[in-house]
Amino acid sequence: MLFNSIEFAVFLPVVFILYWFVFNRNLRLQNFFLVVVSYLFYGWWDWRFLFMMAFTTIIDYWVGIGLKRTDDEKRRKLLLYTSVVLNLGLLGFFKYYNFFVDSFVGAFRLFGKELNVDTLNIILPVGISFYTFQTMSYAIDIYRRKMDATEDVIAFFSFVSFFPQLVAGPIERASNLLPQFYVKRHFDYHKAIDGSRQILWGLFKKIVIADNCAVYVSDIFNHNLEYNGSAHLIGAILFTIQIYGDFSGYSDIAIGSARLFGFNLMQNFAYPFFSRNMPELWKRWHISLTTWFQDYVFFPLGGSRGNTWFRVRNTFILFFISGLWHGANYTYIIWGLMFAVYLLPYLLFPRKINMTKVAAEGKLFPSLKELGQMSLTFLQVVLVTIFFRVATLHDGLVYLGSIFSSSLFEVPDVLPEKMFALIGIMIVAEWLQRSRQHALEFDGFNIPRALRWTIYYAIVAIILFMGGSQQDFIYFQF
Amino acid sequence: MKRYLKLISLFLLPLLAFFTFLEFALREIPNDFKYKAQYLEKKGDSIEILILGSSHSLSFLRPMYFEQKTFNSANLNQTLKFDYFILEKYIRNLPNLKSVILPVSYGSFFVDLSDSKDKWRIKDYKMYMGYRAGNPLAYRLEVTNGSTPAQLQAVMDYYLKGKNQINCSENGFGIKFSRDPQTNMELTGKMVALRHNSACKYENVEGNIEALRGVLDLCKKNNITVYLYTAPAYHTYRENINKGFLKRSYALTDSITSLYPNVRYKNYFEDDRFKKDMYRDVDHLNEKGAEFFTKLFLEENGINLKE
Repeated sequence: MLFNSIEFAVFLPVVFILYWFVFNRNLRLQNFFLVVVSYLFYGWWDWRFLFMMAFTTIIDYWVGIGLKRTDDEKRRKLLLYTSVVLNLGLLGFFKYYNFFVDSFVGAFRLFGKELNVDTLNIILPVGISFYTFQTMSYAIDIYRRKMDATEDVIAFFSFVSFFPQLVAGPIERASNLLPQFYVKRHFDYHKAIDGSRQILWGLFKKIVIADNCAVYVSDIFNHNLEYNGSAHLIGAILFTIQIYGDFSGYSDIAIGSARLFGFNLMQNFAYPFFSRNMPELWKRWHISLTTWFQDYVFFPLGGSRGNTWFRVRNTFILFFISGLWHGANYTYIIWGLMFAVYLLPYLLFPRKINMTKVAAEGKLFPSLKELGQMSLTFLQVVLVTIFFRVATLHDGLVYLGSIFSSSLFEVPDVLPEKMFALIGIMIVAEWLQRSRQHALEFDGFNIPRALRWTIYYAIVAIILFMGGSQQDFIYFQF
Repeated sequence: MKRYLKLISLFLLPLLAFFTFLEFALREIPNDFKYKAQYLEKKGDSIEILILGSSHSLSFLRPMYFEQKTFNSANLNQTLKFDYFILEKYIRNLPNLKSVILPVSYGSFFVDLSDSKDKWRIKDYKMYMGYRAGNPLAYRLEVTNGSTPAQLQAVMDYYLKGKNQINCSENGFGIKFSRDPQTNMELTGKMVALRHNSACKYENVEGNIEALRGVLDLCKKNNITVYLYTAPAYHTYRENINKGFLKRSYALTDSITSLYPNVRYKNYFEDDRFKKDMYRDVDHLNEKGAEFFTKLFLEENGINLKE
C-alpha cells in the first residue's frame, strides 16, 4: 500500500479509530492488532511476501531467546551466525542472485570462456533490505549484550512489521522501538497534531517535489543525446532533489504516522542539502542506514582507530557495502565509492572542523562562506547521484561527459521555471525550520490558528493543483 | 482525543465537500466509456462487425466505410485483457455479430495496463462498464484517478460551456486527440519507440495470450470471424523498437492464429504504401491515413466497402 494512495487514505483513519477506541484496553491485543494491520498493509503488494517476513521474524525471535538462555560463547556465536546467514542469505538470493550470476558469467567471458548459467525471474520483495537489517541488528545487539531479548512474541512481530516504517524505514534499532511496544500508549494531542503536520509536509515533498521532478528527470535521462550539457546538469540537480523529496517525504509520512499511534521513530533526514561538507552530509542523509552501517560494519572493522590506511580502508569498505545495499548494479557501487573518494581529504588530513550545529545557527541568512560550502557539497552530491539513476556505468560516464562539455555554458534546452519555484518553496521552508524535526513543526511559535490553517490549506492546494502524477517511491526497490 | 478528532474533521471537511462535489459532477459528464457501454447494451443487436483494441484501431478503422453495421469499441491503451472483458460482457447483446476486428500491436503481448503509467484508465472500465477484477478500492473514483486541475476544467467545460468528454463519433471512431500531431517524426520515432520498449515486459505475455485466446475461443464458439492485424508504423519508430519483442510478437501471433480456422491475420507494420503524410505521429495514422487504411483493410480481407 502506497502512502500516497486512496487505499492508505482509507486505511490510516480506520486503523487509527480501531487502535484508540476498540483495542486500547489491552496492550497485547493492541499490539496484535498492529501486527494484523501491518501484514495487511504489506500484503497489499503481494501476499506471498508475508511468509518471508514472518519467517525472518520467527528466526530472529528464536535466535534472541536462544542468546538470552545461554552463556556458552560457541553456542551464542552459532546462533548469531544463524541469524546473519539466514537474513543475508534471503537478501542475497532475492536481491543479488542475478547480479552475481551475470557478473560471474561476464568475468569468465573476459577470459574467453562462455558459461551457460541462467538467471532467474525473481521478484524482489518490497522493503526486504529494510526489515532484514532491522531484525539482524536485534540479534547482533543481544549477542553484544546491549539489550535483552524479548519473550513477548507479539511485541516482536509488531516491532518487525510496524507498518509506518516497514518498507522504507527509518531502519529502527530494537533498543529504541521495541520497548515502545511493552508499555501502554496514551494518546498525546500535541504529538498527534505534529505528526499530522509532518505527514502533510511529507506528502508535499513526495507529490509536489519528487513526482514533478520525476517527469523532467525521466525526459532528460532517457533522451540523453538530445539535450545540451547545461540541461544535463539541470537533470542531475533535479534527480538529486527528486530522491530527497521522495525518500525524506516518505520518512516524514512514516514518522508522522507512527506519532499518531503514540510511537517515536528516529529522524531519518536532517536537511542534508544544508550540509557544509561531506562528513556533515553523511550525518544528515539517511541517518538510520548510515548509523546502522557505522555500528554494525564500520566500528567492528576498527572504525576510525588505527593508522590512516586503516581508516581509508574501512571507509571504502563501508561505502562499497552501502552502494551494494542500494541495488544489485555496478552503478550503485560506483555511487558509494565516489562518496568514499570525497571523504578522502578528511581521512588523509584529519583536522578538527569547528562548525555550528546547523548552518548559520541563530541567523536568517548564511554567510557567503557557508553558502559556498553548502553549494559545493550539493554539487558534489549531484555529480555522484547521476550513477544512482543511469542503467550502466557507460551511461553514467556519457552523461558526465555531456555535463563537462562546452555546451554546459549554453542556454539549457530545458528550463523548468515552475519546478524551480516549487523547489524554492521547499528550500525556504526547510531553511527556516532547519533546527527542528520538520518544516511544519510549529510548537513553541505563537502563530495564530488562522495563519497556520492558511499555510496548511495552501500546501494542500499546491499538492492538489501542482502535484505530479503518482510515481512509486524510489527506495521501495531497495 | 476528542479535540484532535474535532480539529482534524474540521480541517478535512471542506476538502471532503470539495471532492464529493467534484466526484458527482465528473460522473455526470458523458464520456466515451459511458457512450460505448450504452451503445453496446441498447443498440448491440444491430452490430454485425465489432472493432476492439487500442488507439491502433480507435483512430484507424472508420466504421462509416463498412457496408455492414460496424461499431468501434476500441479505447486508448485498451489491452487484450480489456478487449476480452468487453466481448465477454456484451456478446449476449450482440446476436447478429459476424466479425470482430482486433489489432495485435508491437506491445500487445508485453503490456499490462495495471502495470503502466496509464493504469488510471482502469477506472473507466470499472466505473462505466462494470469491470470487477483487481484491487477492490482502487479505480472506483474519478477524483483519485487524474489531476485535479484537469478534472475541474472538465467540470467547467461541461457545466458552463456544454462541452462533454465524448471523443468519438456516433459509431465509436476516435475523432478528438489529446495530443497535437508530431511535426518532426524523424526525431520523435526513437523517443516513442524507446518509451514503448521500456513498457514491454516478458512477464506479461502469459496473461495477454490467455486474453487473446479468450477472445478467439469466444468467437469460435459463436461462429464469428476474427480479423487480426498489426498496424502500420513510421520507419523511425520501426527502426528503434526492440527487435526481440517484435520477433516474439510475430511468433506468438502466428502460433495462436494457426490454432483457429476462424482467424485471419494481416501485417501492415512495415507496409510502404503508408506515406509520411498519412501519419499523425510515428505509430498513428491521421484522417487521410485512416481512410486509406480502412479501405485497404476492407479490400484485402474481402469485407464489403460502403459506396
